[in-house]
Amino acid sequence: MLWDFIHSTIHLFTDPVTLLIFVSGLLGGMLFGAIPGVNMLTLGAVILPFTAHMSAENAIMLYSVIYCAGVFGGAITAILFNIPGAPENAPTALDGYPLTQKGQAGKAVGAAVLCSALGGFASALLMIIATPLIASWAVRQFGPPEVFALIFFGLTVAASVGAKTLWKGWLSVLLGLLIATVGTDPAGGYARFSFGTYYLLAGVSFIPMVLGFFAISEVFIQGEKMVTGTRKAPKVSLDFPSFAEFWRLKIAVLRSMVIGFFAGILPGIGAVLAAFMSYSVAVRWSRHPEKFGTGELEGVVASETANNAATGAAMIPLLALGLPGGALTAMMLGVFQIHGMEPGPLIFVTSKDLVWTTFSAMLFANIAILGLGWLQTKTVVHLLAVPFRFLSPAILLLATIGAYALRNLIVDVWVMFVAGIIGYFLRRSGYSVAGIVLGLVLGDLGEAAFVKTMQLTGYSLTTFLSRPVCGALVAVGVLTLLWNFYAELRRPPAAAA
Amino acid sequence: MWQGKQHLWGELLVWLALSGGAYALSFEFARPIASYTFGATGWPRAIIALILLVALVQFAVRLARALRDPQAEAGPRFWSQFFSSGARANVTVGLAFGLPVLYAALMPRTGFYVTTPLFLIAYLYLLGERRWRYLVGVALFIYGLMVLIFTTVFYVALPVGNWPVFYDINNWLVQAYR
Repeated sequence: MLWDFIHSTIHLFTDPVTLLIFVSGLLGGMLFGAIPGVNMLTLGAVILPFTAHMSAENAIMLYSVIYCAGVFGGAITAILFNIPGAPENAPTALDGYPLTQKGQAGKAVGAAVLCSALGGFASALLMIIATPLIASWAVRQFGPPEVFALIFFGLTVAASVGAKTLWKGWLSVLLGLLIATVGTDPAGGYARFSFGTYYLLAGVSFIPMVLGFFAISEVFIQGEKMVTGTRKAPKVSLDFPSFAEFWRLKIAVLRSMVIGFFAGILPGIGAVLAAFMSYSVAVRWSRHPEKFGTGELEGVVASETANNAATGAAMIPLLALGLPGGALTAMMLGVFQIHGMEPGPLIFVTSKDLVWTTFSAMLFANIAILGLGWLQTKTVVHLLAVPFRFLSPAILLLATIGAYALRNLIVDVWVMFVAGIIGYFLRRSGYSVAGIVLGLVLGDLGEAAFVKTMQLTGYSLTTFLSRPVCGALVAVGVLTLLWNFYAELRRPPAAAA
Repeated sequence: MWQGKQHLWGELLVWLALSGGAYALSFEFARPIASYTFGATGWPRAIIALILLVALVQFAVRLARALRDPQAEAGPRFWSQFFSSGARANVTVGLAFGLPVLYAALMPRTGFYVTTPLFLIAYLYLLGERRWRYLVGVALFIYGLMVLIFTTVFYVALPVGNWPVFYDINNWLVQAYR
């Protein structure tokens, strides 16, 4: 194993073509990850046809590097401007942006850089050691009932995050779940809430909603403050978190790595739920949960460690079993097909070089993120020195193009603005836009898992309790729910207002 | 007025209207599915019922708190701010919301390349920039940067409008930028 790793590393850094592809993937992933609308998936889709001209090793390696760098890239805009570059960076904005407003942008970006690199590095290391073993365990244990139970648990935790009260948290999550039902039902294919339009048959597009709820509502809030003269400009700071500060968060980092890794292994769950779950668990375990959402460094750490830890883990079911866990890994499956290959257990025998080049590239991509991210911290943060009245039209324009460019549909721009206006009122009333987004992400997945479970088990609800992993997740979810109710009812009235 | 309990009723009414409206609309797809007993309406109606339940619980809990301590459930500050702000400030805030929406409405007709510089200048003016050099300079810088990234480098197909003259101008500009 060690020799394979050394051999692939030497190949990565001595072959000029491989090295060029590695660096291009790294820079491209970071750039596309940071620009809303044109995310790493856009880059993946654009380059897919060109991978036919590369070797299979280089093509798969390129996608894996884009994956690592792209997930990190979205954190920068989430922290500086409240624009998550990708859905998995949405929880990062919850505390990253308030940190920016407090004049601690450098600290937030620094923590994101460090934790992204750490999470991704640990995940890549685990991937190298345990791919076949973990993949077979996870896939055997996780059927539709477990996926549904995991989503139920995720939602119970998410409802307690970001909103002023538990009730508002739940209403936010439920609103997201309701929006997710727009489109076509997973069992019979009937159109739901589509108002007879072709556009809504595929559901409400996710990226415009994220841009609307986060970026546009923020521009509206800041614009209102500027117009009424109540806005305070954030200070620019370039401080990295100190070692002592970071050391205090060691448990949060380790916990987020574990959450991210296991969420990443599960097909369809991936980095988005990993980030949200890790953030929610950080709130639950914190001695000062009330500080989250107001600029708590641990929030950035939890989200960024987990979403990057999910990247390496997502490669496990793809390589070991041929099961893509998300959109980018599905594109990788396309690359395998272009090259006439089939991922699965045999790939470790038939294409050893490919597997080890990918492992090695992901490991070094995460190390490179540390260096490049440090450079970003010292440069990009200066954007905050630009007056907001100059930045806000640029953000509006960037978000508009991002929403439109996704499918070349002006309706997506409308969806974004409607989400922005609704998001503005919901945020000002104490509801959680992150809860809505998570409900939206998990709604489809949850319903599909529920339908499959019901069909497979003959509508037996006891299935959710009789399977060990499923039962444990449901039990933890119910306990979380009960604890949250108890905590909410004990809250002093002033805090609950 | 907004310092009372009206905002509690207001919030409840919004959630009732949302859940009631969604429930009424769900009859449009209330058809049985042979392979799935709960049908297409099962999942959305369960969510609607939960929204209704949580909204009612929220209302009851907050109303009980408000009856015990009227200050505990004083309405969100922004409503009182809205009513205490002058008409001019409210019109400007309304314009800050309306201008981007107007831009989105005009863009498919007049095209991205013609509408965007005008929108940028208008929005900068609205946010308080009055120096004409900054108005034009910043607008052109942002516009140029976006065109460079999305049109020249990434070849993103942005709207070119569908009104005759604007369509021609936009297409000419796209050719020029590329």
